[in-house]
Amino acid sequence: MTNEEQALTTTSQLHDFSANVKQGLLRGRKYIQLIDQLVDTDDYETLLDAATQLTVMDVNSEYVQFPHQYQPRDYYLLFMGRLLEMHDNKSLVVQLNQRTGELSASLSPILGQAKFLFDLERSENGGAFFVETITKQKLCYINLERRMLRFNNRALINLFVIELAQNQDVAAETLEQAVYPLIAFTHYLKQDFGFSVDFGILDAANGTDYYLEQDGLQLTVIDRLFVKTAETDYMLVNLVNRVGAKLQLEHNISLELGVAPGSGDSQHWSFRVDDDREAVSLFDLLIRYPLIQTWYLNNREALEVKSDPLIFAN
Amino acid sequence: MTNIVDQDDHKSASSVIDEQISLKITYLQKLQQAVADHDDRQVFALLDNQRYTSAVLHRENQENNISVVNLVDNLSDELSNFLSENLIKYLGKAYPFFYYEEFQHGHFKIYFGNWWDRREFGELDVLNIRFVFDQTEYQKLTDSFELAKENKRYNSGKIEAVSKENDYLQGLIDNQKEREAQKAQLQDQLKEVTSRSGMPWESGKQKEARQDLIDQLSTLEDQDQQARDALKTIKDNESRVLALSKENTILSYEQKSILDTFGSFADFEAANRNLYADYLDTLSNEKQVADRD
Repeated sequence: MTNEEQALTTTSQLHDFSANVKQGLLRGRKYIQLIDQLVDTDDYETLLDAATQLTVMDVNSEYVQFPHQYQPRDYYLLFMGRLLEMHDNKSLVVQLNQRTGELSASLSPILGQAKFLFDLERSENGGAFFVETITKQKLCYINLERRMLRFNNRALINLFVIELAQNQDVAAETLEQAVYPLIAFTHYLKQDFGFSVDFGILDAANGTDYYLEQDGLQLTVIDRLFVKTAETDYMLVNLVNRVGAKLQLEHNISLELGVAPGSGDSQHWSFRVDDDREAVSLFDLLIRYPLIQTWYLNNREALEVKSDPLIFAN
Repeated sequence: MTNIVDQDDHKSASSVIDEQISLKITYLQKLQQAVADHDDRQVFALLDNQRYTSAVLHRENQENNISVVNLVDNLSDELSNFLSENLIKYLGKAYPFFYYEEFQHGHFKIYFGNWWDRREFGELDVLNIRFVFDQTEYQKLTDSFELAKENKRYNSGKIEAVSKENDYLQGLIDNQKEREAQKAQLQDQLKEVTSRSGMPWESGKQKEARQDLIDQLSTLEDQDQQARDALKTIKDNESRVLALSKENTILSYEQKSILDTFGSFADFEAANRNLYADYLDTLSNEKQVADRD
């Protein structure tokens, strides 16, 4: 090899090197741009764009490594916090653990009682689960690219009804306030970005069917509620147009459990909650009324409300 | 054989027929008009004049004219359907806790209450304006009113007995360990008694002691067997208690409905007896008011 040839090789190697470093730096610049965008923008789409890119971005390259950076999971929390903040809701408190550099979030009404973060879904579907860290309950699944969110009813009940209401004796109003930011966040996703959302048992709209996992409910399960109502001022009445029962509560609130019309022999059962302001959900009733709560938990196998089966398979 | 017809008889026969047909025609015309006017009171009066005169007009018993009352027998389902509309409207106010289902043209089932698993309580006999209560169900209600006087509920005794049995069975399950220990102890004692070759004069006592130990062991083994079956029995008993409690709940709602509307069971029964007269009185009062307007 001549000296000339050698010089040429060195030059091209240096060029390659510089190009690689440049690329790594560009990626880094892009990264900080996206972070600024996530933190500063006042535009919804720009915010979602930054979050979507950051959650799947690997900023490190072979030539340029960044020792200090957030985890992809953290951007979900930051996105959630920012979206709420843009709507003047500050009830999601995002904290940085100084030692580990990890982010976590709390809901201000139950600040010390539960801690949340996102867990990435490792399959090719992507997305992440919003998880309570102490009880490991996956409360909902979010996918920014596919613009969808699904609540997990079983986990909502495990955390809020069993752990917080029953075991920790947290008051009903506190818990209703605690889930409010989750509902608001989901609502904004739908309103601002057109997300497809399933509020699950948090849905307060009147016509909502909360379908049971099991078909063909044993009527003795309803008998058990009926017998319990005898000790209260509430009466469990027969549904007029379909098989099922309705519990009439105060303030014109009612809870129905009946066979969904047109479900034929397979008998799909569903709960419905009706109130004048469309402000009460099945979740609220489970939290507020010991009668309903005890009955639901005692007969949970039969009464468990279904969540999106593609995401929350048992 | 020749036909011999008595001319006079013939004449009188034709006049009888004429008279009878006129009667029938008049009757049918009246009924037709009453139906056209939806004058239900008049329809009822025509269908059972005897009862109407005595119960509503409080006049001497007047026998129903047999020559006309059967004329519309084959229309009874239609008439019942026709008359049910106003009657059920009236009953809706007088007996707000009864609900009706026309399970067959002109035939109505009575349901007591609108609560969960309400009872089918018999049938409404529209043409006779009366309830035909299911006797078994009615008896339960009567009994539960009687028991209420002693502050008791219909199935409370049974529920208590079944619950007690469950407590006992649960106890058997819970005491499994202690029984094992007891059995081991008894078996040791038994071995000892058997191995001890006592003096001849002791053998009677020894036999007795041995038998006693065997009896105790077999009692414990019986309990073991019961404990093995207990889980299923407890489950069965729980469903029995549920069914009994449900019946109690239904009966208490029924009692409350009657008390809220009539004040007492006796007043409810009296109202049932007077239903025919009360309903038709209401109809004629309504008619008078309407005529005056």
